Amino acid sequence: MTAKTKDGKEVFAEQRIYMPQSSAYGRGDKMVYSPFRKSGILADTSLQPGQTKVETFSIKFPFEEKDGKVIKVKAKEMNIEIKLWYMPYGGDPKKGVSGKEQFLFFEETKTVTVE
Amino acid sequence: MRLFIGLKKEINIRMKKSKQLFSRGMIGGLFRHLKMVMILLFLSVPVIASTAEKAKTIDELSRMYDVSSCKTCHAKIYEEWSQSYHATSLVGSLGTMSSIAGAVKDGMMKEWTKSGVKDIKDIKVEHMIVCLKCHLPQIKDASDEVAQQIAKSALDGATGNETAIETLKKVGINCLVCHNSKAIIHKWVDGEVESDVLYGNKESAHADVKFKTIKKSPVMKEAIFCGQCHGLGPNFDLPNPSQCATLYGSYLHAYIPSGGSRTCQECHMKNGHSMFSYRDPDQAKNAVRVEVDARGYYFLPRAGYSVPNAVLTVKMTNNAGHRIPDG
Repeated sequence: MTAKTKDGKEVFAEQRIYMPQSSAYGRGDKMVYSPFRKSGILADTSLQPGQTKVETFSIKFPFEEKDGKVIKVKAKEMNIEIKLWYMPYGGDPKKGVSGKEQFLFFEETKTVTVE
Repeated sequence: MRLFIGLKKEINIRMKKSKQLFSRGMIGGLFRHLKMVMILLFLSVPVIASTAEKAKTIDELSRMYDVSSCKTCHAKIYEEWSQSYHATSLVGSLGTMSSIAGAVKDGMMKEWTKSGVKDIKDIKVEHMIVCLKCHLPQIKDASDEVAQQIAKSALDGATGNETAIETLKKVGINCLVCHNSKAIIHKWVDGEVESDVLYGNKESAHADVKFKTIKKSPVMKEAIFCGQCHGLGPNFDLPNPSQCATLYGSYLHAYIPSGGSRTCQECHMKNGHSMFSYRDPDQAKNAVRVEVDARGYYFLPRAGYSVPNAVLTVKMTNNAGHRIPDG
């Protein structure tokens, strides 16, 4: 999720990962990659069948404060981009090639304002 | 066959002569038994020899499992299948090939210190089976040389060698894997897979030189059919269990208990043998529904401190028959 002000300045970026996480050879507490060494599951943050995962993001508009008070809201409008990527082999969604290393499952931009 | 028929004739002649000399008592019965055993022995030798012949090269294995003739009558299905990752199951999206290369380089030659593998030449089918059990089930009909060839090609392909990649593409999960090798699961109930029979959804004759008959597979339309490869977790049947797909496990233990009732085939084969999943935008859209609500307001964490804030709620509903992601 990425939030930018009207002038294109990025003020927020957060990524959440959903996947089963396995240890090496069924032991220890370190997650690993590669089927040849994965055995068992340490944690599973995947989207589970028949279930709805609800995520909440709180994003502050850029502002100035003084003496514990907000004195100026620098931008009253943000464009917030939400993307859900399927990454079959992991990696950084900002760097991969769409349609090859990553697949866009969902994309939407919300414009949020305050008075 | 000529040699065997000649010998059988010889045995019969000798047996005939022996019969004339002995009575039909115990000795005669013994000779009749001996004759049957010897005939069976001679008949079985060529069968055993042929089942013991394993492919020595990838090309040979490819010829053994050649499905190019299927295209003649099943052109549409063949085209759909050729678009699937099944068709190039050793390469996939290149990530599969990298994973196999990793299993060789980092697994067999490094972390698996007791595997006996120090070099490509030490690799046997039993080492590569951690990947090929599912990615190339027909490896059971191949020699250790083929396992070594696949290992080498995966390593070379992972560095960008196009020739190596094309070599790996010569074999894959093709028609004969699903419609023959894997068609029967419960062999004590349904019998062994017959080598000259194709299995489908109904019984019929089949216009083919080798596969003249189609028999019904009792499980071809069932999720368990796909579950043979699409995984439950660690492959405990292997001496060094790998864990690639856990999708069927998720299907059994999460999707079904959540009230699900569809099979893999109903979702992934509704458009034919392409069996698309995440690569198909429609499939992706049907699999996960996302709803976003957003609002801006002034949050008051303490008196006098009013902070402009945007709150977004993202709801992601998994409508698939298994966890996402999985494979």
